[in-house]
Amino acid sequence: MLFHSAGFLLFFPVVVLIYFIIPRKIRNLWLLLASYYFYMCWNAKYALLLLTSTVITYVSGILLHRAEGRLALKKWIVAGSFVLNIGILFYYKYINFLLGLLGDLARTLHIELQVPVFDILLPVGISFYIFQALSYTMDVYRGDIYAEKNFFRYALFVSFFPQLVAGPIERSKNLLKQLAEPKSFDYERVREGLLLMLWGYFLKLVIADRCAVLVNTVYGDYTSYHGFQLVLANVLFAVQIYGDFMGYSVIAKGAAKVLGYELMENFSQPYFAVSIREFWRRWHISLSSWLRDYLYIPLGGSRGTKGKKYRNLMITFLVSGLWHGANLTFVFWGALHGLYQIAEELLTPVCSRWIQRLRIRTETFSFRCLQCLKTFFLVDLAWIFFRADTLSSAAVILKESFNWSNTGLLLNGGVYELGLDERNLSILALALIALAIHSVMKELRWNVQERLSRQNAVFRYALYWSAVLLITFSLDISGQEFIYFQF
Amino acid sequence: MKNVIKLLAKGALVMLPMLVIYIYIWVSPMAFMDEEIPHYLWNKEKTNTPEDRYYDTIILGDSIANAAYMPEILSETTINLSLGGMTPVENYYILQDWLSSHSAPKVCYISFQDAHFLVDDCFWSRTMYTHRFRREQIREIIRTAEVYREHSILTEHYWMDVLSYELRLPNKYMASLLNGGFNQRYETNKEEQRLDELHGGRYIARDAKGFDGGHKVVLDEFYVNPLFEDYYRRLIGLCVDQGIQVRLVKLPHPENVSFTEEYRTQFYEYYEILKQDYPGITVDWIPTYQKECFVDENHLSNYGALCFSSEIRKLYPEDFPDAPLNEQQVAAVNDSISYVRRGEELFDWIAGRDYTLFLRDDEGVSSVSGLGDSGVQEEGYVLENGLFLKREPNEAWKWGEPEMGEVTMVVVDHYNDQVVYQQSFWREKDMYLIAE
Repeated sequence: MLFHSAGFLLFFPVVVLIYFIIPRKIRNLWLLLASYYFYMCWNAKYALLLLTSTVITYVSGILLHRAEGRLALKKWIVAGSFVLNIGILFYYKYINFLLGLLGDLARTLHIELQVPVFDILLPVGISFYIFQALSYTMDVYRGDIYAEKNFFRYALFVSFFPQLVAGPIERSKNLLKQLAEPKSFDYERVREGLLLMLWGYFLKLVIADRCAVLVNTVYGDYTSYHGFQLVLANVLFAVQIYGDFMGYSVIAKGAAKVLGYELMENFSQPYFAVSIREFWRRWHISLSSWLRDYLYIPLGGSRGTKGKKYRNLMITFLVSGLWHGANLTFVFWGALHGLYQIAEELLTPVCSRWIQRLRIRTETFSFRCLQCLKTFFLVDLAWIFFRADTLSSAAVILKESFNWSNTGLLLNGGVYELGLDERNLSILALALIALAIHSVMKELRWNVQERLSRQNAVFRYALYWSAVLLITFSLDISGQEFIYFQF
Repeated sequence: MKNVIKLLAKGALVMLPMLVIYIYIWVSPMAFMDEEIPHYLWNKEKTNTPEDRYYDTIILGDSIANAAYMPEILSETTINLSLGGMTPVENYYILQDWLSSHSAPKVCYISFQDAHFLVDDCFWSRTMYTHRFRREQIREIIRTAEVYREHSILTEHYWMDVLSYELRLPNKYMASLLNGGFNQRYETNKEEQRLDELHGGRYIARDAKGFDGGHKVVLDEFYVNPLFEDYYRRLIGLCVDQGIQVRLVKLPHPENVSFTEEYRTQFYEYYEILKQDYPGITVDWIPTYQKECFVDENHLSNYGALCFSSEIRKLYPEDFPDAPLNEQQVAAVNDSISYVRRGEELFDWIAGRDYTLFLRDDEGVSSVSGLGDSGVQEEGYVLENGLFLKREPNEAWKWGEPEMGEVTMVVVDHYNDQVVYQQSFWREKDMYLIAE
């Protein structure tokens, strides 16, 4: 069930209404049923996978609790939980990819090899809920939380519908604790939650889906485009994936808030980052912090030699790439980000020396803007590999992006031939201005909702109605799935 | 409770623009929906409204049937109830609607293109979108499609899509609304419905341009999918039960389309079985027509429809007895004549009807009467020195001075004593090309 489908528009009010009507004791059970229904709308059979992962990690938690004081046994239990969960993930997401690589290798070496292909449908959100469940196992192992004894509460933690299929990947310390607390109807909280959802829909439908039209047109026939057209598509893809994923996260956060739960922030104005390292502190925070806490640090993190640190960085980013999809393009994308960070580390002392020598004032707005642009350029370059179907097509797009023979496109109306007409491009431009203003306000640590509520009603409703109108007018081009559903 | 009410009230206020648009979609479909939609609404109204008038011949089918059968040429008691994109599935319910509010006709002509025995490609974009059918009919279609696992109907979330259309959710109509603008299509759509009434339901290719001939197409398989087989038989069965003579007609194709022996064998075998199961039905395959009769590979043009309808009249004279044209038929013929783009077609349009075609070139004026040699002058029309006069001298109408090699054609409708067509052409052999 998509957040912007008619089904969800019926599902959500019904769930909320019943949630607040029924006795508190059975509210979690109701949410659990609703969450499984939400998941089964895609594929009823795959709810069994969700249940399996839940049971494995729940039992692991109980066993870890009972094995208190026996470190070796606890390690075996964690290993068992990881092997089983990663095994499920591997089978459903990576088996065909690996066999395909094996086949390619055999062909390259002229070896006769019949590689089987499994007819597997990728379960929606599998990477998200398996990582969330595994984080629970690790937290119990580390003693950060107690093992949850109530199975239904734990099952709800893994399957909580607002963040089930595309995150944020919640931590047990945050969400599981909240699930144990009783929730009651709070007008202000529900209002804030609904406004967050409205903003999320705006990001998804008005911005991301509109960008998607142009991006899909260009990437769908990339050999016919070059120079400015590809650059425009690449830049708009950066906007699309941000609007799409942040839109989902904001809707999820808003929906959870309506029900009384506070989900973690998944984005913090990532395109304002002045370095790649900072970008990853602002982009998909729930995944990057998961990888930091459960992979990078256990590998040794930045302890030890520089070589070991760089190795750990590369491993973390390769896993991040692979987490996003079973395709070499994602692996390359992850590797590129790993290399960016290593290069940044190596070049920082050199750059600092030059900055001192040239007496460049680093605290100025212009210097920060320049750094933002540099980071955006690098991130956007990497997005090409994320969006392209194959490495070779990404290489062609990259090469052709620098063939600037059509810069007049903006002036001669050629930009309207890329899938978006004048009306839609105008709406997109307007929406991007709204996003930029919102991002600046957030960056200045303003509480946007609170500031908005202090404005007079005419201004507030003018904003709400503009957003609602733009969302309504965007319904004709909506229908794109959330990009992160595939992961 | 107070807070809940406050929340609902404020929520409704925030969503007000969407609510206004939603209400507009419900109450004014004719004001924004694209120009094909009024035909479906006209058809719905026509089939469900009892009339004093009796139609003894009805036409069912898809767009090719709609384009081919011309009620004004066939008879005044013929009505074309076919609709673009409709398969036997939808046509069964069109017939059901018709029979519930009209007396059963004597004859029913049914024609489909082969594709509509394979997929219901317009189920969502037309059948559902236009609200042509009742809720219970749609539900029956979906349930039957479930039985036969018809994938062209069963989308990923088909019940949710049905609900979205039934509730007219804005996401299904926003594209039309944005393209049509607010209330900008109402006049055009009303005019389309007036023309539907005038032409007895025929609307496809009414004013379309010609066909360039296309590329060579060889059809080598004739097959009917189970869902469409089921409804095709239900349709024929309903006719038979009501004592309606069923005539299944395979419509002509342009010259670039050919059929293999295998196709012909499958086609005739299939219809042989149908004839055995429903004795009394007739099956005809009308052969190839020249490309000038088409607007594309499937649809007959106005002229093609004239030729086809005239042929059907000859084939089944018992269905279409000779009778003078009534006022509506004349108006419909006049309207069709007004779209003529190839001068030579005018000879066929006036043939057998009380029209006169005047041709004037740099050598003088000649005339051809649709009813033979009855003579124009006797009817009171005088041609003198390039002047073409009506009965009343003060209603004179003057020819323009012809360019060298140019032929001006004028058609006079003697039923209403009016000029219904005037156009200048360049003559090339036996063809008349519109002069720039």
